Amino acid sequence: MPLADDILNDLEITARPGNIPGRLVELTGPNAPAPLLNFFNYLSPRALPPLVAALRAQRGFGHNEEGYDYLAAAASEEPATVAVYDFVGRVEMSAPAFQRLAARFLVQLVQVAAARQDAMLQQPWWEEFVQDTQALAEQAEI
Amino acid sequence: MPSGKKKSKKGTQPVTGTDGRTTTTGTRAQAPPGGSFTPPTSSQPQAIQGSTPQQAAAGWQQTAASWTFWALSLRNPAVAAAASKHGSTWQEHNDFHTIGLLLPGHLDLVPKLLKLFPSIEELTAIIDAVAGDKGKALEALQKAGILALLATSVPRLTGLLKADVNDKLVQLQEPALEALHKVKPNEEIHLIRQLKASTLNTLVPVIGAARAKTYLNCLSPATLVSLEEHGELLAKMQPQDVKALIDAYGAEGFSILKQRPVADLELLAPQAALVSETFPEASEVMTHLKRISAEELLALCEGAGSANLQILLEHLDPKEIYQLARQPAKTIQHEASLLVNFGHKGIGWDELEVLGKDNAMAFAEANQGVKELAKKLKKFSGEWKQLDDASYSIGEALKILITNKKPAKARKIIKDSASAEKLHEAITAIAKLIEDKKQLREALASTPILRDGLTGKSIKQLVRAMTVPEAADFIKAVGDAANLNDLLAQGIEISYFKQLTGAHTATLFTKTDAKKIKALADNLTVVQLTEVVQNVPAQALTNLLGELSALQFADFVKVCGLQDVGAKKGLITLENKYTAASLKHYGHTFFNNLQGVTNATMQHVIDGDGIKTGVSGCHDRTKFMAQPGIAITSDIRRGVTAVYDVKYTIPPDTKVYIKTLIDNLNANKADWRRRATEALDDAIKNQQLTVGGKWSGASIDGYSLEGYYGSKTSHVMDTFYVS
Repeated sequence: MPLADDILNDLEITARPGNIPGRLVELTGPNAPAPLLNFFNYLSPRALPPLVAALRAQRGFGHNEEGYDYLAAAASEEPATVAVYDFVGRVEMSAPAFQRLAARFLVQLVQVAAARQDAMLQQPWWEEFVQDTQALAEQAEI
Repeated sequence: MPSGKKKSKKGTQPVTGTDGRTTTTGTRAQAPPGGSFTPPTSSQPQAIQGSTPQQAAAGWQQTAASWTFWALSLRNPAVAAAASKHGSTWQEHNDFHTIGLLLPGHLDLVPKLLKLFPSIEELTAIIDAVAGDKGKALEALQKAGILALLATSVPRLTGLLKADVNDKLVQLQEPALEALHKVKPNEEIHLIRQLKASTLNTLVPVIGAARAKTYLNCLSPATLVSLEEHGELLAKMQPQDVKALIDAYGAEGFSILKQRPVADLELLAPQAALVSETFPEASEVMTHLKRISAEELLALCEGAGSANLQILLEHLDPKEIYQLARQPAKTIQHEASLLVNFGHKGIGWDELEVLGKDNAMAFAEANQGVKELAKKLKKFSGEWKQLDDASYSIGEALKILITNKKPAKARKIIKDSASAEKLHEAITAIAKLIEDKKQLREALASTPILRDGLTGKSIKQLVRAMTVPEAADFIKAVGDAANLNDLLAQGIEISYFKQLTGAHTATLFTKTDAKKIKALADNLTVVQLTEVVQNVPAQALTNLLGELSALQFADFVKVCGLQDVGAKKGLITLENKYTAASLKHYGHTFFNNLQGVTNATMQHVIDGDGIKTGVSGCHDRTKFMAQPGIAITSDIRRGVTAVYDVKYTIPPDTKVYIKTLIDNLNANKADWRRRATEALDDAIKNQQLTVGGKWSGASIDGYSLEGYYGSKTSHVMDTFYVS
């Protein structure tokens, strides 16, 4: 059973204390499934540009042992779903809910990076990444 | 001059006798020259007696003089010789004949008589005095010892003879006569008249006539007679003392009292009335109180009062009385009043015997339910009696309850006990408390350190398990009374801490509080806890006891041990490597089973498990590049490290995969295994590990690694890779 959209909508994304490179924000929630947490919370900076690109294109993405896949709908009228996985297991949710969660996560990350003047701001891909994140946010209607 | 001088005054004149003594003389007849006499012609002397002594004497003088003298001279030449010396005098007065008539059976005495009484007048006066009954007088003189009598003064002799004490005189022995002679004649006669002859013979020589008279002034003659056998005692005592004792106890009682030393009797005498009131039956007193001095006896009297003491006497054995008499008056009063109290409550002495005196006293003071208690205990008496010491303690227990103003509690115990057995249990428990208190008092008395800062309860616990010196040493070692109070208040078995020693207990107090120390003791043997204190470094122990609960700590000690055994890490290493907080977070089971990086881990990381959702594992760059079915879209080295970030797809799918690879991982797998292990330790230390899930940490040389732990195989790292 896919996770209810509300569960994803209720997850919090907060600035992470400390200074772990690239890991500026953290996804938390009392009922957050481990694959979701492991996917978002262990992203490396290098994974960000291809991730936002994959999200905009609604394609799957893999990052070491974690990742997600868009699953083909069984019938045309059913909404698409996304399966987020890690080394241990996987969890499914609606594609729009996942898109919104991912957009919220990346927008928050950009904001925190800007606020902290993180080293990522000096990366050549940063500006495009910010633009893609903005576009994703619009696309996800957050 | 004695009586009888009426006749001697007829023309007598003083003359000098042959012995040179001056005596009276007068117109005296001369003895016939040559000593020849004509035999008398008259009848026997008895036939010549007159109606009065004087008349009789005169008759004798006239008719029998020549006959008597003749008889004397015939029978005893010595008489004749003696008489011849005084012949003229005697013959002149004819008194000589009277002598002869009076002493027909005692001619041998005549020379002495003549010698002692050169004055014929005096001798005649004697004879005159008893003329009414000369035979009796003679008999008296004879039996009483004529010599002794005659050795005294004439007035005395005549006084005696006139006083009609002849019967007594007959019975008196010489010592008595000698003693009597030392008082005035009238007193002598008084004594003889008042006392029995046997008394005079027995008593007077011992105490003297003067003292006898004094006694007679105090005591009735009959009383003094009854004391004739106690002369030695009467000689030593003051008459007023004897009187006091006899007034109080009577002669019979005094006869019993006299068994006591004189000093005792002298002490008793002034209080005789009090003693008598207290002990109406002197004999009973003496039976009970043989071992008690008079001083103690008086103490009993004064302390108990007559009514109480009578009860004591009736119901205490002599030994108890003996001991009681040595108590202060207040104690005697107290004990006596308690016994009286029993009587008021209708408790028989049978019950008292069942209860035991001490218990009964305590129960009586409880004031209620005593009789019921006695009944209960009576049913239980067999067992009760076997509990000599315990029963004493029980009594003491109730006493203390009562004296501590808790009589209600004592009553409640008694009332609430449904049976004697229950009561016994309850009171035995109290008795134990009493024993504890006793120890406590001893401890406090001997060891100041016990007094200062420690509660009574604490001390009680200590001295229950230790000797007082041990307790003192223990307290010194712990060093903080408040801590020790807290610890003991936890209800610990102090014997445990006795084994742990005060020093180790003190060490624990530098790390944690009493409550946790108690909990440690509840969960670790004293040997285990001792080893902890001795072996765990101070800071580590502080950290561990600060973070872990006592139960958690105990589990680590018991499960992991303190020291490393082979690859298995003990608690000391675990704390040092992972911190106490991490130990708390993951628990003893996690660490006990922790295997970390295994060959299986390395196999997965190097060779991988093929394509699943992307390539699983296989972080060796060479091996990854050789994976079939993948398309590398970028391969970028991170600076000068062996780490590469690759981007690949698995055609025909366009899904992008990002993966970190390690160049020459397989060739350097020992190094990477070490780094993985270090990173895992770091993850555990920082609690960045989810059992059965993700972990992330850093190696010592700075590689950030992450992976999964325990999802496939418990306690084993599933995989690792560079973040």
